[in-house]
Amino acid sequence: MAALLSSLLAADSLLKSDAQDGSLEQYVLSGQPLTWLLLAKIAAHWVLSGLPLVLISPLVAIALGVPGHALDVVVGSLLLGTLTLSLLGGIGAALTVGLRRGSLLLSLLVLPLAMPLLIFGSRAIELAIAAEPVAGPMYLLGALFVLAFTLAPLTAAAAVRISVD
Amino acid sequence: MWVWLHKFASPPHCYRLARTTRAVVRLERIRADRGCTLWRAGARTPDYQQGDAFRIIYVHAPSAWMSLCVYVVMALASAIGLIWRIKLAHAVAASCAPIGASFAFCSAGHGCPVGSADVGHLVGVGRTPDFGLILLFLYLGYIALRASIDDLQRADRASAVLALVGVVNVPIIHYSVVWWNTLHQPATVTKMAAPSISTSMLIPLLMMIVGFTLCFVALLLVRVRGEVLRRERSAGWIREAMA
Repeated sequence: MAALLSSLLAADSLLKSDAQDGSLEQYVLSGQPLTWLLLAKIAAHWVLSGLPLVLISPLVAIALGVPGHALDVVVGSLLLGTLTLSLLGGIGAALTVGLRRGSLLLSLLVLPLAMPLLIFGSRAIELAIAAEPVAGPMYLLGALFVLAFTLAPLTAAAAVRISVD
Repeated sequence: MWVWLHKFASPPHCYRLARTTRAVVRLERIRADRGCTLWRAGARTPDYQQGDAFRIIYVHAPSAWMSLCVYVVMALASAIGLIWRIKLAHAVAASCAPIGASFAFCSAGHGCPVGSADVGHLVGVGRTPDFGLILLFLYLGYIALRASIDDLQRADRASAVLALVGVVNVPIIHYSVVWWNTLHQPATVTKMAAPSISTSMLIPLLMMIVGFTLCFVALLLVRVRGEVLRRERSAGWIREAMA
């Protein structure tokens, strides 16, 4: 499961930096609040890259021999995890958007920030497989998501302004 | 009234100040380090559980502490630079990063052998070699981002945003790594509670931490002078100072 999350990270970075090349200056100039535009952008990116992973994860989990009672935890932790990863990836992509070697740098920037997600996600799934209470790591994942959701679009907007002007 | 404070933001003033304070800091640092070394040489008995391996703690714990401390200093300087648009603060942040990276490298480097010798548990820091490594990556990302943007002002501001994002995440990452490591090994939890550090080891350790902090201040002053020289190389006051 940790490997699944980390492979997502690599895919995340490439898609994001490619998608943002062209129309970014138009966003900045359009007069709309940049924070909301970026939040929409990140959400759209998550629907394309994160959501399929969440949907397909029960099948993969069954194929890997995860017991049935742990499936909802697998789906839930991946849901929170991919959302937060997309938000973090948004900050990283906004910082590196104008750079030539951006994608490599982006994974270096986002990897340490995504570490807690990997830890808590794999912890929740381990506990669920052992049929123990999973509330602790799941709450922490939720808290990380709320934190990223409130602060990441603002930060990404600030970073885009710096990158573009 | 605030003139004395505003003067710190002026590169020429800071350049001169850094030169005068550096000598004092260097002297104090040598005194603290030598005091620690003497004390350590005096207490020659190896630890009964770990033998001589516990001596790593005198380098590992201060460098781990400093790598965190330098990150906070860097983020504070970045925030000041970003909010009040003080160029000198960005220069300070830029010169913090390589120092912090080398401290993080040190702590990650001894963290690995330390993990097996269980030295870290003596001070209750838990097993954090992984954390030193992550902090090293944070520093490397900062340095790489700064290096890959050509325009100086844009590089300053982008890396300042990154430093602020990082400093929000540092406590989260720290605790997640610590919990992860300790939750996996029930033996470490009981071990952490049982032995508290004895005074004969605590005093040289504290002296070492003071020494490392002063070492950082001295290095920072040297680097800030270099950074100011590089950034202001076309300014008039430098030619006057050099003449």
